[in-house]
Amino acid sequence: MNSVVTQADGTSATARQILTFRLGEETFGLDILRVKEIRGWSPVTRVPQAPPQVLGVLNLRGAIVPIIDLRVRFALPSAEFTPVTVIIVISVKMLDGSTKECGLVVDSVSDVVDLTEEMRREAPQITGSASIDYIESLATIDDGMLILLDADALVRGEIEIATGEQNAAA
Amino acid sequence: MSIDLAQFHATFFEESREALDTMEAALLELDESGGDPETINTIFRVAHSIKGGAGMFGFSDIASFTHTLETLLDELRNSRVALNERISNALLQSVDVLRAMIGTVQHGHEADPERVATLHAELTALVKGAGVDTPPPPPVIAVEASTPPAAAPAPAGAAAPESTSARNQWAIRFRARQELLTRGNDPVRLFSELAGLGPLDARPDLSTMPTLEALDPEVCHIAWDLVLTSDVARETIDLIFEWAEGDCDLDVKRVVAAPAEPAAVTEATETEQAAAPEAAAPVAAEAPSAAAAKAEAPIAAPAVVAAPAAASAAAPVVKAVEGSGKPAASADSTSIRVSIEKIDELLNMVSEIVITQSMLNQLATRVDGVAGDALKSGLAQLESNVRELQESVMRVRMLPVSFVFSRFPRLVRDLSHRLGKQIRLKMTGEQTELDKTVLEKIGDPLVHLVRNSIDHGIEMPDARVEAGKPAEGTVHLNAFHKGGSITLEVSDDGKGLDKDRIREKAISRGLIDARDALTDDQINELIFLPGFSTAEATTDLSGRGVGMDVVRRNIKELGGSIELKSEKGKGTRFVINLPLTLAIVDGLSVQVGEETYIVPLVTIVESLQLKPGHSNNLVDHGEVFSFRGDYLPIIRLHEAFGVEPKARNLHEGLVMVVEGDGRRAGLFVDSLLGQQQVVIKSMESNYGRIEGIGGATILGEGAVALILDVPGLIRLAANSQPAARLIA
Amino acid sequence: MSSLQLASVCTLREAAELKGQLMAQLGQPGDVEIDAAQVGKVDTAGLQLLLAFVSQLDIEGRNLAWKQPNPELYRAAGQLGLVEALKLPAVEA
Repeated sequence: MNSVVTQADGTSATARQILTFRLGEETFGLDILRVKEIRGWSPVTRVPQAPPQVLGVLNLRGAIVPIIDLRVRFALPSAEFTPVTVIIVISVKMLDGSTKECGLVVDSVSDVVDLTEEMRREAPQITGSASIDYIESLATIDDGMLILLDADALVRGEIEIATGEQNAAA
Repeated sequence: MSIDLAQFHATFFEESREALDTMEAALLELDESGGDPETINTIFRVAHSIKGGAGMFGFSDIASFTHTLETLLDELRNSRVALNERISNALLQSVDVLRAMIGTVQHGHEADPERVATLHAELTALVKGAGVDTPPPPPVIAVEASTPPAAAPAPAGAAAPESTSARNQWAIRFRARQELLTRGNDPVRLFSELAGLGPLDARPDLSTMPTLEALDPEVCHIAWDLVLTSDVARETIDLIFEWAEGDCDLDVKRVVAAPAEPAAVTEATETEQAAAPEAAAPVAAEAPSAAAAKAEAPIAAPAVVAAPAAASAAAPVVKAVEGSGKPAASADSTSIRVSIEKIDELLNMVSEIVITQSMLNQLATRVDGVAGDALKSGLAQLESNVRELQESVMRVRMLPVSFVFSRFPRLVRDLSHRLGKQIRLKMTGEQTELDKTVLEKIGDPLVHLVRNSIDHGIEMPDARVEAGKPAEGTVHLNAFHKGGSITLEVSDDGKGLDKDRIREKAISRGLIDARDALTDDQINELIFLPGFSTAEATTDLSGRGVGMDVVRRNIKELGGSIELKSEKGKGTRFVINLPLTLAIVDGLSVQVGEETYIVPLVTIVESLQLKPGHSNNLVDHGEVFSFRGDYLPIIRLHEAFGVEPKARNLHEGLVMVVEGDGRRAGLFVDSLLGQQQVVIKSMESNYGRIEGIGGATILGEGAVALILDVPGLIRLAANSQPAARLIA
Repeated sequence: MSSLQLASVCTLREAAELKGQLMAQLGQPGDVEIDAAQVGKVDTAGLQLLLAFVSQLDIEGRNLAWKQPNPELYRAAGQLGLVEALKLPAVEA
């Protein structure tokens, strides 16, 4: 039942659409199908006992959604939250099959690009480095390298570790 | 195709479960009424519809089992077999076995095949005992062929028994379009679904059938005129064709029911007279009178006119069903099935409106003059409308307690039989309404309490007589509203708690010290401690390792409380208080540093400002203060949650005396902001559990505030101050 | 008399095959016996083909006998109101 979607410009969409955003010097990407919403930064409500990358929670259309600071997650130096600071709200599939929503704080959103297979490069296996299972692959775009993130791997652990520890303590 | 089949499966499972509940309740009623024909009819109909559904989906084990069950019920209905205890036990067990079988096909859980086989054999033996062999399943359809084509439709033979209570008819013209079959919409299945609603007569229109040679095997060339005799709403029919929408032409009309009745009744009467003329009389006598009343309605009259007549004719039947507390059986025409998600979505939207509303209120304070006044009065109106809307939506989630109570007659019957006790179950306030989520979660704790009463509370008949009490004990389930909460009571007139034994046991388990002087209430409290059980030998009833501590914890999780009153020789009473809904809580908003938290009002005993020097820092005991003669630990919220507070000295802020899990503590906060009702949002749906936090809510300006879980917070504080004595 | 054995599954998926099987019976002399003992699953597409076949036999003036039509066939045919049109023998209750 795989259908080939024909784009407005007539090209056939075997490519995936990727939302790209900047974090420090790097450009990252997320599959656009995972992105629910992009919104400007607004102050969050801090949550007790949360790991440092979980800034707190926000009200998104009536749901309480955790907000994760990707700078902290990627161990980048923290930056001021400015008017261009953006929260990308994504949906994440949890291991138990449920879906959770989560907001990612990034420096700025850049673009939406069509990513074809030819542009993709496998992520190098870096031995000894901290877990990079959240990097799905790398890709070359116009002006450099794009790090394509695996939304599930990126966030699942955060939420499960954050709450799993508490469950163990309870 | 796999998708919609699964959808139908789910419906079948759900409906079968409901049907089994109805059947169980009717069976229990049957026990008391000694075989009321209408009750047997109800049971028969339920078994029949399960059989139909099971057959349709190819669950042949279930179909075959229900077929035998149905045969036995038919024998009972026709008075060829007299109801006795062996039969009623077998019938009740059939309900269990069917539940298990449905569980098997649904979840792949293993039903005990031996039990199924044994019971199946028992049912067959009971039927045989009546001198009748189980007829093969096909005959039910055969009647179809003899349906007079021109006359007003007689119901299909399979459903004939149902015709005595049928009131409305639906004429459905069904014509397939090109894609119907290839999209997985098989008329056989669609019509089976329809037949599940009531007797269905299908008359094919073969006028457009091509020859075999010219026939495209993937296109349905037959059209149908269907007549469904059922009281269901139009929506229910539309729902069945939902998946075929766009793939067929459908014309649904309501028609007069009258002409169908005489034929159906004649048929039923014939069968019954052939079998046992005298015993069949009650059923037969009632049926023609219903039909006669309906026949009086002018045949050609518009449906609107005929409907009330038909409805009134059938009224006794409806009443009989309602009287026995089975809402599902007769409510088809006035209710629709809505998923709980849809209601929650609605509730979510309403909460959003509440937030927007309070935001507007804040803005309005900045508008002056005439326009401002008009705006404010408009907003006041809006506020009261929104509140009403919110309450209405909340009420949609409410169900009567009978939903949970209905399982107890069976439980009490079975347990008392097994234990050789005589027990009467009294239930009052079944119509008291409660949030569905609360209702679902309170079932197990209630079962535990009732089991406990039967197992440990009520004495054996001779012991009761010896004690000067009637041989028959009473277990009473009661429900009533009290303010904004609901109270459920489980009481018995049994032997009461043996306080000396509880005390001894608690000492032997090291739960209390032999020197501790405890009041009666404090002794009663002991049974809620983990690992405490008064049963000397664990029976398979109450002693499954689940103790009263689990009951209490479950109730606490619902934001409720449980108390116990007991008098030796007179009985025991458990009183459960529950919030009406889990969706809203009354709370006090408090400030700590820059943050706002909500403290549920029910947990607050008192708020006070300590004078300098009123607190002590006991060695190994942490910070405590004196409150009504007790020393309570102080929980500094800013420390527990890691906030930079405005007040560090106890006398600069506020201490709230809070209570949770029977323990008290002083909660130290900066200041009190105000009281408000807040809508509880789950932290777990997108994040997870946080110790000390029960949920979150959205404040007027759209910001999130966390709601405290006071018992959790007290536990948390106790763990970080292990030596602190927290029992007040 | 020619005999025709129906497969255990006569549904949309097998419809083309079934049609071929039925077509092969047409235009031959003698009565037809349909052995339906094996039929465990049948849907509208299957019944429709059988119905067209039964009508065609009528046109050709040939008699039809059902051999062991099983409950599943009755159930599906009954649901569609086709028991009579398919000339399935009435079963005594």
